[in-house]
Amino acid sequence: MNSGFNHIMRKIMLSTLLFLGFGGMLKASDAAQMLRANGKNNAVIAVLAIIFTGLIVWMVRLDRKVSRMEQEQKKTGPQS
Amino acid sequence: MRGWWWKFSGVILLAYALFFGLYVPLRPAIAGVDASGKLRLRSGDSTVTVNIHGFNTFFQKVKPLVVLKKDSVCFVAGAVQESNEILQAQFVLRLGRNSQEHLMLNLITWDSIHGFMEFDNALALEHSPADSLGMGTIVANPLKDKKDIAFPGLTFPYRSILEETVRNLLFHVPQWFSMIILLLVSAIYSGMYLRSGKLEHDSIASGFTSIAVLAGILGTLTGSAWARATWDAWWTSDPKLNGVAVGLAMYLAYLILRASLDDRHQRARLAAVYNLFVFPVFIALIVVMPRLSAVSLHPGSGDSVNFSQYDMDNTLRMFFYPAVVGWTLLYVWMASLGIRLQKLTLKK
Repeated sequence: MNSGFNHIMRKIMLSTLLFLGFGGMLKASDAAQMLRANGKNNAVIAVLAIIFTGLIVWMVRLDRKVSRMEQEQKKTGPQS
Repeated sequence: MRGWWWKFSGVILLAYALFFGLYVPLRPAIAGVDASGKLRLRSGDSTVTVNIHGFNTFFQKVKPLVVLKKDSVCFVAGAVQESNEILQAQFVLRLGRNSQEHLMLNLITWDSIHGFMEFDNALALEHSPADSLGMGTIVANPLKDKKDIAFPGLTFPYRSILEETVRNLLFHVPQWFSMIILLLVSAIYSGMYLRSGKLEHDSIASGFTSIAVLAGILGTLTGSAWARATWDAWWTSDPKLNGVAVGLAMYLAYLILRASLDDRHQRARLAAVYNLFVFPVFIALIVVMPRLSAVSLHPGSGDSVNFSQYDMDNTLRMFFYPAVVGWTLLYVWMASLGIRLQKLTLKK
């Protein structure tokens, strides 16, 4: 189980590096670096916050389902 | 670790769309023009000062050429910049006795950084030629054909009203695209259940539907937040919104129907028939009906212009389609977790 976890972590690290590479590839112009924040940024933040909250709520529900199953298994003993 | 590649590609595509969706700046544009009210002018020379409000502009770096123009009438301004966002342009408007009484002028600026920026109907002039005898000259048109100079670097298009929220295209719209894809998969599995009678097909259909409902709820809430910023209301009577409200209610009914039946086979059969019936109705409600309706705020439906024809541009496309694929893969991943969990409970 531990080695499997390490494997996932290695993949995550690799994809993060790849992803950072993309950022370097973008030749940011002078103008791009001077982005001034105005013009309804709040709506973008709100949209991202809603999506993030939705995914977390889903994760919590899944977690509770799994724990319920674990508890039932504890009561009845392992099936397989 | 076989079978992980598509999950990771989904995450990478999402990270790509999220990062660039927030990082890429908006293209500079003219957001508004002051002194755009009616100006009453006499024949001969009159001086008018026009304030040009830029969005993401860099007026202090350049001296733009500012022109007011309509058909063959064209005035060139001496431009004075106040700041990066405000450009003051002084025009000496020379009107002849024969020039039109009402003149709606478009404002055009040109410089080496921003290229051409246009603002239509910036200035309405009212001309009273009877006052004076002075004959004016009309400056020859220096901008014969419009050559768009590409703004350096990656930028998203500026759209009035939308402004920075044009980025939400990468976050809000993929929810609906992936929802429809998930519901299609669910309907296919419902059909397969009716042919095979395998409970496995039924649990796949229900797993996909519940994640599609999650995507639909997120799409509705994000759309509501976006509408507040652009349409000035959390909810409007737009045909797409009403269609989605009914469609989501139908799918919530599907989930409640499933939860209320104890017999697995009866539940599977009823749910499959209901699902196959509801899917075309849902598509009709959120895709077909808004397109047929007379008025709509949503792009691509009713009287509004199709998003891909007007609001989309190639830079947004570079991130929009990966975002759709990324969201779909993430939701398929989530659905597969639910399906696997259901399988474990069914085994007992």
